[in-house]
Amino acid sequence: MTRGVSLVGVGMIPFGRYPEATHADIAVPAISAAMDDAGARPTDLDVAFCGTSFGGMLTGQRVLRELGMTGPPITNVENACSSGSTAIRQAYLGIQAGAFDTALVFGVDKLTQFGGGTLPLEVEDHEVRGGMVMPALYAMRAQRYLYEHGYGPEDLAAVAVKSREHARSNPYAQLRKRTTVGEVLSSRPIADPLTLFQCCPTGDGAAAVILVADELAGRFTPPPVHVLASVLESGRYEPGHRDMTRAEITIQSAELAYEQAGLGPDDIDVAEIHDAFTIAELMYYEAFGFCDVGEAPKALAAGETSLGGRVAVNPSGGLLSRGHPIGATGVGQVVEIVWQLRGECGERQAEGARIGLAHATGGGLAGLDHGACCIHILGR
Amino acid sequence: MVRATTRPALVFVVDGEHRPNGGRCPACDLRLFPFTPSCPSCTKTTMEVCRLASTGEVYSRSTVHVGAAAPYMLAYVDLDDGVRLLAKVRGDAPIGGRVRVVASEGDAVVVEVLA
Repeated sequence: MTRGVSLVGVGMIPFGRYPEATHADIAVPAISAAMDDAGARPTDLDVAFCGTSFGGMLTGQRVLRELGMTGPPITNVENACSSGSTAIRQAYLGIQAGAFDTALVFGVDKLTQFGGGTLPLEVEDHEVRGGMVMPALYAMRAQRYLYEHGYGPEDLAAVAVKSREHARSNPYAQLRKRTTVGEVLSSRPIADPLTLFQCCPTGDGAAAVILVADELAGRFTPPPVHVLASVLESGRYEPGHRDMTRAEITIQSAELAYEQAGLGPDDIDVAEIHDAFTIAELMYYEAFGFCDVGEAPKALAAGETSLGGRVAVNPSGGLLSRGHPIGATGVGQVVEIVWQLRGECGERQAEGARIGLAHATGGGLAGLDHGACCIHILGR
Repeated sequence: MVRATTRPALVFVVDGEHRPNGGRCPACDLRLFPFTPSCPSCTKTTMEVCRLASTGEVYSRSTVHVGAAAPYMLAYVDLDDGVRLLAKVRGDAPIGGRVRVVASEGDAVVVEVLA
């Protein structure tokens, strides 16, 4: 019997645009909120992990210094869009193994430092030098998905409409205004068929969680949420013809996560999945088994994945509306799931949710579906 | 010592035909693009330069409207010998359309719909 791990404190700041703020300005309030939530003091925490992609050298130390929390080990974790969730997994593994008992994990990124445009990708990758940008990669998946399954751009736009509808009552979401299929389709073209409203916004943000060994959970204030599965995969390299409508790395990771938790798709009440672009959410319904292959737009249209449906997907608004400050995203997803499982989400609450899932995947790399995929399944 | 840092040009032109310069593993016959010195499949370290097919089929494509070079069309092209490559499209090309490599521009292979 391995040692169980619980989440006993969570916090985040509203994701948005804070161009004048430092990473510490952004992250300290999120960490303080998680500490207050747990009723934890700095001395309660054995180690810290910081997930960030663009925070620069020693981001974790730069932030924690301001809280007087340096001294113990701080590990900075970079894994593209999965940086924050990979940091959570590192804490989980360490506690499970008995290397330490308690850990603070936070994720932070500040994309306004780039002044707008698409996410800067690594130019050592030949496809990036050849003109690849993240929206184009997802756009080509979308084109092929629509072509193979006979759907239209309005089926993609419906994802953005649902996302905004969910985010409307989320004070932590960057975009909270309702929208329509017509408005989504007439927003600025980015990489066809994807328009501006079908792409996650540029923004800044931070989120924090506190993980402890199950036997210590009683020392902290809130009812613990248990980690039922924690999985990380890197994509398989495939230089030949690949089915891009099949989210290989997510399918692989989901299978491992379900196996680890002893659960299946029907057990998931609420999920925060990596909807960086509209097409992604549809592909991931299929990857997680929330619907059959080729049926995702129908599941969405039938309300199966909306609040009140069979599985509430992205009640926070997901990356499309809550926002996607890279390193903060994976932690922010887990924060939302913890709140959902505690029943603290007000209007955006998935009623009676007992099991939740968080999924962050990303990193554009030639020959790989994605560079990293990290999934957590949580239960109360 | 680092690995040899020289790479062949993206495209080799012979008799007016533009053949992408890929890699082929002499041990397991894996082909890929662009040329990489080591084989990711069988981990043998000596890949040979291999002239890949100059024609193929568009797997997917998208016109990019952002960035300094916009607008431009990108496509994933499935070459006739089993390798997929990212290319810039001259003109237009539908999914399933037959295309031919016609040039390389900087770090991009350029394709055009077969007449």
